[in-house]
This record gives sequence, structure tokens and C-alpha cells, in this order.
Amino acid sequence: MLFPDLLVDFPEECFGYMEKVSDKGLAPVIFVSPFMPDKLIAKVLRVSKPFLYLGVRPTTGIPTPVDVSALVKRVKGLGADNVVVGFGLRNDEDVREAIRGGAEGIAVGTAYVEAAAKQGVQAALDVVKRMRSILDEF
Amino acid sequence: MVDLIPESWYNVVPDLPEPLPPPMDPPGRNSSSIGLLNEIMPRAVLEHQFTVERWVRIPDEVRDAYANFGRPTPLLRAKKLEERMGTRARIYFKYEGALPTGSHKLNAALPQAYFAAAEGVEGVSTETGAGQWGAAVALASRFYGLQSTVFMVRSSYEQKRARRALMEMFGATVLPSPSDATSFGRSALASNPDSHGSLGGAMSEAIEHALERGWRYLVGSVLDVVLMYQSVIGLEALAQMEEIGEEPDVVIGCVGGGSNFAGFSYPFIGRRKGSKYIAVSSSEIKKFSKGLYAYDFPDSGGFLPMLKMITLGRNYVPPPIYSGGLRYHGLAPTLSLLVNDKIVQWMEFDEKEIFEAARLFASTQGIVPAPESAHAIRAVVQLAREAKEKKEKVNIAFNLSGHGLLDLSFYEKMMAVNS
Repeated sequence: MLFPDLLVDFPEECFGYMEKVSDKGLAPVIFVSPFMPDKLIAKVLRVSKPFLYLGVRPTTGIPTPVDVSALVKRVKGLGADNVVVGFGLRNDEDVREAIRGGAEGIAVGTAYVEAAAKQGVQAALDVVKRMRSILDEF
Repeated sequence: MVDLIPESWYNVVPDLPEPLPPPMDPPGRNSSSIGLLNEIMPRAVLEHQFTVERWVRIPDEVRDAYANFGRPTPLLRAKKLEERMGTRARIYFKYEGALPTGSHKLNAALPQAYFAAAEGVEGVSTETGAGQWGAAVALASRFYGLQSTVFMVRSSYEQKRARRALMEMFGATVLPSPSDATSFGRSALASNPDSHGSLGGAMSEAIEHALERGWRYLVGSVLDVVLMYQSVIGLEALAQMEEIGEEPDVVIGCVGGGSNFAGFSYPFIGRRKGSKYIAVSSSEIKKFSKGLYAYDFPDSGGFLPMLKMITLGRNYVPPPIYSGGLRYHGLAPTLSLLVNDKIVQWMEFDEKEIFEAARLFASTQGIVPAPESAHAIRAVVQLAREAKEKKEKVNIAFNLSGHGLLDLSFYEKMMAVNS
């Protein structure tokens, strides 16, 4: 069960909710951003299952330059076993950088929606295939 | 000696007590302010702003430039001041006034000018209050073969002719802000032809100027990447204190946008060295006592993304106190968070109080401090006095962010009033 904004907006209350979610037999996945301190990310790692969802840009639509690989390495250095990177992957090279940094997976949203909206379902499926082929390079 | 210059800058964000609220696009606008940063800031600077890592390697060329211009700066003990006060406190200060433009500002100007030059642009623009940042940009851009235009807050432009001349010596074009060179400036002049100007307004003009020319805009404070570039001060100071087997109990610096305070104190905060960190500002501005912790624009024109910070409001026009470096409505987001969480404490002093502290410091240590830095000295004097009364032994370390040899007109005026 994905919680994209809970930790961002309610850092105090987040962990109480996580306990309740786990008690119901669900696996809570929590979104973290680079603007979060290491101590908090390390705490999230212990409860975010089966992976940690790492966002790499402050907003999805704006191509601010970031070193995606360095951001992934930072959370891997905190002991993250499974990291899925998303929220702001801008192009194929960003995806490769995420994997080079040690990410286990990627999350793609805007690219599918834009492809589907502009060119239809087949175009969205082509995005899926392209992403898959990039992951298969590694 | 050169080995004391750190190999990496330090970013405090991974060590903050809670998440840093990120920059935000103003709601309801068609264009993105965050996107605008891509057009005006050197790409590497922006990458440093958004790629949050605790340590960021300083390029060899920038490290060499730091050495060329006098880093590491000295860490000195103010023994004569201690003796004059009869305090048991030990007072150490990092002397950034030893850099050629007379302040710490060169630490952030050099990397930004280096990264701008690497992109092949012709020039850079910026704003300046007291002229310290403008002088640093003028020198750094000349060093890397770039043109520079500096928008200088009008009250400072008129009061501080020597620093204006210094910028011009380095080849910068210096314009008073509000100016008639930008649409923001023209509209500010239309609504108030006698405007003293403000740092936030000059920022907006510099951004507009860079956009029109395809230049880069260099940021003097407030953005956390600038605070990171300034961390060389504190990292050197940490190593220098370790060399003499000392640790500070109290760490002090003055605050305009936050870059010198953060540059000096964050490495201590990150290493948990010291138990008290004090940011000092002006009681004429009242940023700490009256400011709100909220999202606001760092520039008056509202070009830049909104930042969550302690702010007096972007339209606040500060009174024309001499300490131009403190005449700013906002405060860097990381420092705002640390103040809001009470990890960093604050003090505010007025011009008369800081003048007395400056005179005491000059008469004991021989250094005339910049009026901004004299705010830090005033706090040091207060703590040293308290240590004397309580018969406590305490180590105080502060950042003497600049000398005041180009600010003697201020001291002349204060001596005339207070003699």
C-alpha cells in the first residue's frame, strides 16, 4: 500500500499509521525525498516494505538537474535493500543513472500518462517496453 | 596550510532534525519558478542545490582558487579582548576579512563563477547590499574571464562609494537599484522615485538582467547551496580548533540571509561540537523577533521559487541602517528550520550597541570589523560578560565575517554621535 505524501505532510503521525497498516496485514510503502534527513530515512527503511520509494526531484514536471545516481547511493548507504526510484525521472539516462546508483526498480507515471494522452494506449505500452529494455541492460 | 582547505563542502540537510520543506512553485501561475532557475543559474550550482548529499567534492580548480585568494583564513584567539573584559571565557574567531575583498563572500562567488564560466556564458549578474557580495562576484568573475553587472541597493550605492569603486576596479558594471535598466526597477521607481531600494528588489533586477542576456545569475545567500559553499569556513575552523586541542561551547555569527553564520556553524552543528549556536541580527530589522516561518519569495519581484523561511514579507523595505548585509526580509530555509526548532538561538542588537562592541574589538584586537560582523561581536561581549559574572570558563567561537575598513564613514558618524 503506497503512501506518497504521508511522511512529507505528517512526519510525526506517519509511523503510528504504519503500525496500523502493518497490523492489518498490509505492507506499507513510504515515499522519501532528498530533503529528508538521514535519520528519518533510516527509520523509514525499517517499516517501508517491500521497498522504499525514493523521489529524486522537487516536482515531477520540471527538469531540474540532479545527480540521480548520487541520490540513490545516499539511501543505499543507509542500508536500503530495495529502492524504487521515481517522482522526477526525466529521461532514459535518468533511469540508467538510478540503476547504476544501485536502485532495484523505477516508478514511471507522467511518461505513461503523457504518452497515452497524446498518442494513445499503444504509445503508453511502448514506454513500458522501452523502460523494460533499459532495465534489461543491467 | 593548504591541506586545511577541505576537499568537500558540507551540506547540513541530511543532518537536520526534520525534513526540509522544499522550494515550491507559487500556486496559480502558468510558468514554473523552479523551471526558471534552469535558465538563470549555472547548471552545476542547481545540481548541488537539488542533489542532497552530506559531502560534495570541491573541484580542484576551485580549491586552487581558494588557496590563491588566501584560504585557509586564520583562526585567532582574542586574548586582549578577554583580558580587557576580565572574563574567563576564551574567545576564538575565524577571520574571513583576510580574504582580498574583505569578507567571506568570495567562498561562494568563486565556485559559482567557475561553474558559469565552464558553461561558456559571457557574463554574470547579481545584487548586493553592503557591497561585500558584489565585490566578491566582481573579483570571481574577473578571475574566470566573465563580465559582471552588480545591482547595488540604492542606499548602499550612495553611502558606500569605496566598495562601489572596489567592484569597478575588478571591472564590474555597478548600477543603483531600483534602476531604470530593468522593468522591475522602472516600476519600483515609478511608484517611489526616492526609494532606498532593498536586497529583494535588487535580486529581481539582477535576475531580469541575466535572463535578457543569456547570462547567469549568481546567488549570494539564502539558497542552501550557497550555505554549503560557505561551509569551508566552519570546516577549516573545526580542523584549526582540533589542532590546538580546543572545542567551542558557543558558536556565534551574524545573519543577513544566513550564509556566513551557516558556513561557520553548520560543520560544528553536524559534528555536535558546541552546545549553543547563536545567530545575531539587527534590532532595527527585527527578523527574528517579528518574522514568521512561512513560504515566501526570496526576491521582491517574486521571480524565484517560494521558500519556507523566517520572513518579514517580500515587500518589507528595511530601514536604511548601515549594515546593508542584514537588510533582507528572509532567511535561508535550513537556518529558518533550525531556528524554528530552537537548535539555533538568536539575538538582536541596534546600531549603538554594535558600534560599542566594534570599538572595543578594534581597540583590543586591532581589527575594525564590518558593521554586520560587529553584531556577532556584540553577542560575544554579552556572553563573555555573563561568563565573568558567573565565574564560568566557556569557549566562544565566532565568525568575523569581514573587516570594516571600507565602512569607516559609518564609524566616523557613530563616533561623532557618541563622543
